[in-house]
Amino acid sequence: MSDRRQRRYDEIHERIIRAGIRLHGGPAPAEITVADIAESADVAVATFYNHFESFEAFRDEIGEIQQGHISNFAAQYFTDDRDLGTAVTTWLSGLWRGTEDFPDDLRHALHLHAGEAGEWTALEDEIHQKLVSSDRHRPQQDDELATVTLRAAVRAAVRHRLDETETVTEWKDVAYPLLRMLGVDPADATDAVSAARSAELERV
Amino acid sequence: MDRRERRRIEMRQRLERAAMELMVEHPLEDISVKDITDRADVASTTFYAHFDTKEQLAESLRVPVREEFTSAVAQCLFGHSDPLVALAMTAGAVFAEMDRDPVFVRLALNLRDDVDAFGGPVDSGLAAAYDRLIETGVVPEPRNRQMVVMMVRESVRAALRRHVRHPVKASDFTAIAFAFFNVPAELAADIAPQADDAPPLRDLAGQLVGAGTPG
Repeated sequence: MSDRRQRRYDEIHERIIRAGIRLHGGPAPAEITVADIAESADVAVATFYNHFESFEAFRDEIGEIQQGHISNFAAQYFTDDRDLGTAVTTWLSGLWRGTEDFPDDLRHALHLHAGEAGEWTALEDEIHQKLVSSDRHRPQQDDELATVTLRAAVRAAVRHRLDETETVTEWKDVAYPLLRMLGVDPADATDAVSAARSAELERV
Repeated sequence: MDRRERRRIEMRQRLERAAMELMVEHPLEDISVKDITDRADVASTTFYAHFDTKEQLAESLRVPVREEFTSAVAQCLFGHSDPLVALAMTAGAVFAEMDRDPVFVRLALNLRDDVDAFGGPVDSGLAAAYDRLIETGVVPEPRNRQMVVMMVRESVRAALRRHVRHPVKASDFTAIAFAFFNVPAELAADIAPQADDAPPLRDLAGQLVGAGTPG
């Protein structure tokens, strides 16, 4: 394949994948068809099949991208040198930025689609490790329950943020109750929120 | 009631129970009338003697189950003079009900679906209980009350979903809910354990109706 043809092939491939991610963020992913994706990507159905052997192969590729996104979210925020409060606040701040900058990818990465009982295996492992290793007062003994709860609360909050039309929810509204639930000392929580807020302002 | 009528009611109940059991496992579109009649062990003509469609049957179940659940929760949330004890007992009662009748709780809270498709009535109960904590000075005014309520609601759904696979202690979940509400740690540690002694939700609600303190 010539360079130009290869570039053209890659460009179309990317367009089909983007269309899949965009549609996958919609209300009923199970009902998406090849025709929907081809139309959204503005390519012929036959072109879709030049890129993917089957719809299943396409879904697999989308799924791999999804897992990659989740791992990236974990790696980026839950690094070893960060304390729990800092990890959670910068993560929430990053998620909120994502709701503005790349909402489709975020819905996809966090499994926010209706009807999908998503797991965040990689991210949950990171969060769980961070919980177990952190120096904090435990409101409850069951750290796995805290991790599961955190996932549920954050998914609901991000979905709410993406879907809301009138009220504006800030990540701080989520951070304080969440840090309290995770057993972070209130003074440390305030410091972590302030630091994440300062980092945001610097970026602006 | 004559025997035919008794038999008719029994068949209807069998169909309803079978449908409930299937609905907590699968989306309605994946359930056929045959699946329901097979599980209920009745003929398909019996199904159509009672219901026109599976959707009609599903709706006839969901609405009363959710109403029964939310009214029992409201009864329990306001059934004790101490708002924190009421919250702990209600949380414990939901977990105890889950042990006794998981199909009822799973259907009421739509636990099959990891989406907050069911907010309304549970949220208003939780919001009212939260307001009571704020008004009585147990907890400070939050930055965003609606967000806290939603987080607690999704937490209870996540904890109950987990409870299906790994037993969750009601007091551990209660401690989490208290933390979301920003209940002082010492007070929370003192009261959360009471959740483990609560009777199942509908039993507790029944006892409180007798006490005459509805919400």
